[in-house]
Amino acid sequence: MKKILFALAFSPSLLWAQMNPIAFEEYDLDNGLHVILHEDHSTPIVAVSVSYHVGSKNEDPSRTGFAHFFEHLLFEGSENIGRGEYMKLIQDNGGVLNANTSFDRTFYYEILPSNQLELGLWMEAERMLHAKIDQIGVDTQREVVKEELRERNENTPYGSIMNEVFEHAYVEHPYRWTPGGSPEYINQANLTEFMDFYKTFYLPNNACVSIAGDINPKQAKEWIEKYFGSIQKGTNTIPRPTIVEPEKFAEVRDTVYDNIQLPAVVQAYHGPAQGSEEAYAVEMMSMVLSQGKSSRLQKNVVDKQQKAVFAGAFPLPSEDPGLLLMFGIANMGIEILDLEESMNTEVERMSEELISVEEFEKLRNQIENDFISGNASMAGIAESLSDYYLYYNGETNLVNTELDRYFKVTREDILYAAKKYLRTENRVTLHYLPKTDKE
Amino acid sequence: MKKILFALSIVLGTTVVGQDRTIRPEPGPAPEIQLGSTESFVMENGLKVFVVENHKLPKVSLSLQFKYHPELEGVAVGVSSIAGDLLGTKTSTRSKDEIDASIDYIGASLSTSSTGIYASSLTKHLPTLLDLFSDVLLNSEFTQEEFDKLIIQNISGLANASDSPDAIAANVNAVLNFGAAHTFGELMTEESLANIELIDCQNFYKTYLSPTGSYLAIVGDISVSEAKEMMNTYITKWLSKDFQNASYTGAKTPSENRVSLINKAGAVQSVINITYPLTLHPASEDALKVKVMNNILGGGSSARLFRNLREDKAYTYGAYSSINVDELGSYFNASAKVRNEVTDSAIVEFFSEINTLRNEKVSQVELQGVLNNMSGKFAIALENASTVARFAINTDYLGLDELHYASYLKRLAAITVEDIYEVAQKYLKPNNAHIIVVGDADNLKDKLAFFGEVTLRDTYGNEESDLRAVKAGVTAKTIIADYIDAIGGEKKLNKLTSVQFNYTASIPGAPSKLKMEILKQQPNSFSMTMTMMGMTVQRQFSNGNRGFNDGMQGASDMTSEELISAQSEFKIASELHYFDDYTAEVIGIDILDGEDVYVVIRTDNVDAKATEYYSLDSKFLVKSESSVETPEGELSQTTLYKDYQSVKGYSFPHQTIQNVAGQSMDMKLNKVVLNKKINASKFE
Repeated sequence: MKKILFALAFSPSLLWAQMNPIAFEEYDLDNGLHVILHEDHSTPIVAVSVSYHVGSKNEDPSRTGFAHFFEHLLFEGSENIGRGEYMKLIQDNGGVLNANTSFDRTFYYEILPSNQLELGLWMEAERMLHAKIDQIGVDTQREVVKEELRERNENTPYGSIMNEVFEHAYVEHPYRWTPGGSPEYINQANLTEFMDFYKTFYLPNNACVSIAGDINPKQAKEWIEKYFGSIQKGTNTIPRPTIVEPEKFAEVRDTVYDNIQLPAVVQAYHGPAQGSEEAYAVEMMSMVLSQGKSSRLQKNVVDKQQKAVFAGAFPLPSEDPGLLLMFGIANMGIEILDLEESMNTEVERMSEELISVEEFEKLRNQIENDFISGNASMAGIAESLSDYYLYYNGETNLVNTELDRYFKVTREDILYAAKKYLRTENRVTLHYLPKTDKE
Repeated sequence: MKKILFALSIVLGTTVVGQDRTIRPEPGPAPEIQLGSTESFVMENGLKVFVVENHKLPKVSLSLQFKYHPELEGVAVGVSSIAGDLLGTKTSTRSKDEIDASIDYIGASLSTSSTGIYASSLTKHLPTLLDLFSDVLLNSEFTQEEFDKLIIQNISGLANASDSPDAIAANVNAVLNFGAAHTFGELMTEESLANIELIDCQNFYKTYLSPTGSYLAIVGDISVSEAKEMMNTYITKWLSKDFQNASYTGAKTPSENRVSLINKAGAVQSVINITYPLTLHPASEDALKVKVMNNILGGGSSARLFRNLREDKAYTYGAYSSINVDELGSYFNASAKVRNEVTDSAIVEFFSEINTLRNEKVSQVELQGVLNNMSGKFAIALENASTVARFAINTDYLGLDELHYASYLKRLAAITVEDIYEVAQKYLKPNNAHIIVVGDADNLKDKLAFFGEVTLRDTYGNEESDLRAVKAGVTAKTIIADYIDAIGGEKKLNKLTSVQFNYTASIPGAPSKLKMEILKQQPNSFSMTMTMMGMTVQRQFSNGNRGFNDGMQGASDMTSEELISAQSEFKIASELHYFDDYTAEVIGIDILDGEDVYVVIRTDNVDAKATEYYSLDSKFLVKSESSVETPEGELSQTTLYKDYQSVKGYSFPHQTIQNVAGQSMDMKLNKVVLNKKINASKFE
C-alpha cells in the first residue's frame, strides 16, 4: 500500500474565517478508542478510517520494515473474513480502500456508499480484534513487499533517495531507517513476532477511528459501540522510542551511484518536530524556496541559471524532529558541484537576510489558498482530523484554526529558523551520480 | 460432565463475542445519487462554457480544453508540447518574471499545455486570475530565449526518462500500437527536438488555439451570471481560427503474439506490458461493457490479475489491465513489474487469465461485485464538482445521448453475464498482442522466445541489433580477404581453371538419395545436374551467352537479370571477384552454434541482398541467407557450410545444408576434381 513518506507537500486542512468550520464531535470509548465524527450530506458517501499510533520508529532495529509489512498482513482477512476477501468485500460493496505506513503511524481507510457504513465499521473492528495472521499470508506478503521495495527503491531512478537520506542523517534515532525497511529482516521475521506486534500496538487505546461523510451521528455511535466497544484495551504500556538524535557538528557528505543519467544534489537539514512553533517557520521557509515558479530555487536555479531541470525544498513532517529535504536534478551538461553551489547560495541567502515584504505577503496568500483547498474530500477530512488528534496532543480543532499558527509567524521568525537550521554542519549532502561514472 | 461444560462454554462464547461478529452487516436503503447540475452557454466567438456552481469552498477553477486533431509532427516531434509550455512565458505586456510573480502572489496556480490551460484561485482573487489567464491565452509571445531553455530542459527530461523502465515501456507501447503514421505513435527524441524551430511553435499557437471547438469548465464559488460577465470581459477578444482536423486510421493488431525486449542491464525487475490496439470509440455501445469486462480482469485489487499474480503467486506488488479509449485510437494494456526470475511465469498467468475470461462466462456473483464497485465509484467521483463539468463536456463533444451519464447506473445494472462473454470474445485478443518487456535482456531473451518472435528494441521502440561491435579496422574487405586466405589464398585460387564437385544429397521424405554434379570452368561456364535413380530431375547451366533452367517446373531460358546473378554466383573462384559483383558491409558479431561470426550484408548489382556469416576463428563462410523470388512469392533460403576439408591445398565445405522455405537438403561432397579440362558441351 502507499506510504505517506512520498507525500512531500504538506496536507493539513483548515477552513478560513469566511468558511463554515468543519464541525466534528469526538469522544473516547471505555477501552480508550478515540472516535471523531464529521457529518456532511453533500454526497452519499462516507470515509471510514482507523489510524494506529505505530510506525517504523516503533520497530526493533533488527526488524525494520515490520510496521509496513504488518499493514500488508492486515488485509489478509480475519476470523470472520476469509483469506484474501478483505479488499474484495469493500470493493464489491461499492467502496475503495487503501492504507499507508509512515514513520509514526499506520493508516487504514475505506470510502463507501453511505448505506454501507456499518459494513465498514464491522470490518475495521475485525481488523482490530482478530485479524488473521497465518503462515500463508506471511509467506505471500513477504514476496509482495519485496517486489514493492524493488519497484520503489531500485527500479525507479532516484528511488533510493529517502532511504539514503535518512540513513545518513540519523545515527541513533529510529528514523535512520524508512518505513520500507530492509528485505533481509522481512525474510527473518516469524509468525510469533507478528502476533506479538499485533498484541502490542493494534489496541483500541492506541487507535483513532475517524469518520467523515453522509452519516447519522447517533446511529454511527451505536454501531461504533457495538463493534468496537467490547474490544479489550491493552494493559501494558505501549512502547514509544525516547531516543533523541544527538546534535550535529559536521556535515555528512557521500556519493550514491544510481541508474540515472543526470546527477542530482540531495540535501537534508535537521529540523524541528511537527507542531512546534519553529516547524511552521521552517515550512514557510521551504515555501519561499520552492513553491511556485517565482520561488527562489525555481526562479534562480532552474529558470535563470538553468542549472537544474528540477529543484525543490520539502519539509518532511514527523512526530520527532525530522528533516527538511532539498533536491535538485542537474540540467544537461551541468557539473554537480556547480548545481550544489547554486542551491547553497539560495540557502545562505535565507539565513542572511529577511525575506522581502512582498515575498511574505505572497507566502501568506499561498498558505491561505493551500489550506482552503486542502480538505475538499471526505477522505481528506477524515485523515486530517485523525492526524491532528494523533500528532498535536489531541488538538483536533486545529483543522479549523491552524491557519492562525502560520499567520503568527513573522519574517523575523523565518530568518531565525533559517539561521538555526540551515547550517552546513546540520545537514547531509548526497551526490547522486550515474553508475557509469563509477568506473 | 466435563464434555457438556465444554460445549456450553462454546455456546456462551458465541453469544458474547461471536454472534454479532459472524454476521456481516446488511446495507441500509440505497441512497439517491444526485448528478448535480451544469449550466452552459456559447460565446460569440464559439467557445462553449460550462459552469458548475458549488459554494462549499471559496474557490474557483478554470479548465480550458483545446480540441483539435493534430497533424503528424514527423521529424520535429515535440512542436505542440514545446508550444504548450511556451504559453505564459511572455505576453505582449508582461515578462515571464511578472507572470510568475503575479500568479504566486495571489496563491493561485496556472498551468499550460498543448491541450489546455488550467487555473485556480480563491474567489477573492478571481479577477486577478482571469486577467492573467486571458493574457496568457490571448497575448502570449514565444521568444527564442524561452524556447532554447525549454529545448534543453526537454533534452534533460529525455535523459531522465531513458532510465525509467515505466517511461520506456510507455514509449514502446505507443510505437507498437500506433506506429509513426499515428499521432499517438510519435515520440519526442533528442533528434526531433533539434529539428524544431521557434516559428513552428508560433505557427502551432496561431493555428490550433481557437475558441471554436474548445471547452471551458468553470467550477466552484461562482454563479452563471458572474461567469458570463467575466467571460465577456476577458475572453471575447479570442478570435476563432479555421483549421482542418487531421484524421487517423485505426491501428492494426499484430497477426500473432510478438515479443519486444528492451534491455535494462542489471535491472532487478521486469516491466511487462501486454498490449494491442482496439477498435472502440468512447461513444460506442460496447464501451461500458468493455470497461466492466476489464474491471473483472484487471481493474483493481479485487480483480483476477491482482488476485492471481499478487495475492496468490506473490510475483508482483500489483498487476492490472486497462482499456484506454480515445476517439483517435484505443488500446488494451495489461501490466506488472515482477522480479526477473518469474518474468515468463508471470506472462503465462496473464495469458491464462485473459484466455479464461475470454472463453468462460463469469459468475453472476463476480459480475455483480464489479457492478457494485463501479456504481460506488461513480458516487465517489461526484464528490468532486468538476466531475459533472467533465460529464457535460464529454456529452457535448462526443455527441453522447443527453442522458448518457444520468442513466449510467441503470445501464450498468443492465449488463449481463452474456454481455461480458460477448465483449470478451470480441475485444480480448490473446493471440494478437505485443508483449513488451523492459528488463535484463541477457537473462530474458531465451525464456521469452516461448511467447513469440523476440525483437530487441531501444528505448524508443526502434528495432535494435543485438550484435556486438567489431574491432576497429575490421571491414567487409578484411573479412573477405581473410576468407580467401583460409580457402587457399589468392594465388592458388587464380590458378583454378576448372572444378568438378560431386555430391550425394538427401531430402527428408524423398524416396531416394539424389546425386548432384557441379561443374565450373573459366571464364564463365557453369552447370548443375541433379539425378535421382539415374533420371535427371533438374539441370541448370550458363555459358556466358545463355542460361537455362530445366526442372520439375518446366524448361526456360534465364532472364538477363537471372543470368547476371548466376554468373556472379557461379563464377569459378568467385570469391576473388567479390567486390566486382557485390557491395558489402559488416554489421557486427553474432553467435552461431556457439561460434562467434561476423555478419556481412551483401548486395548485388540488381540490389538483391544476402546475409553472410564468417567465422572469427576459422575465417570460413559458415552460413548465408537470402530470399529468392518464385512464382509462389518470395522464399527465404538458408545455406549452412560445414566440415571444411582441404583438397590439394584448397578448402571446401564437405557438408552443405540448404533450406528453402522449410524444405531442407543435406549435401555431402564426395568427389572433387580440379583443373581438368571439361568439354564445352557440358555447358549447353
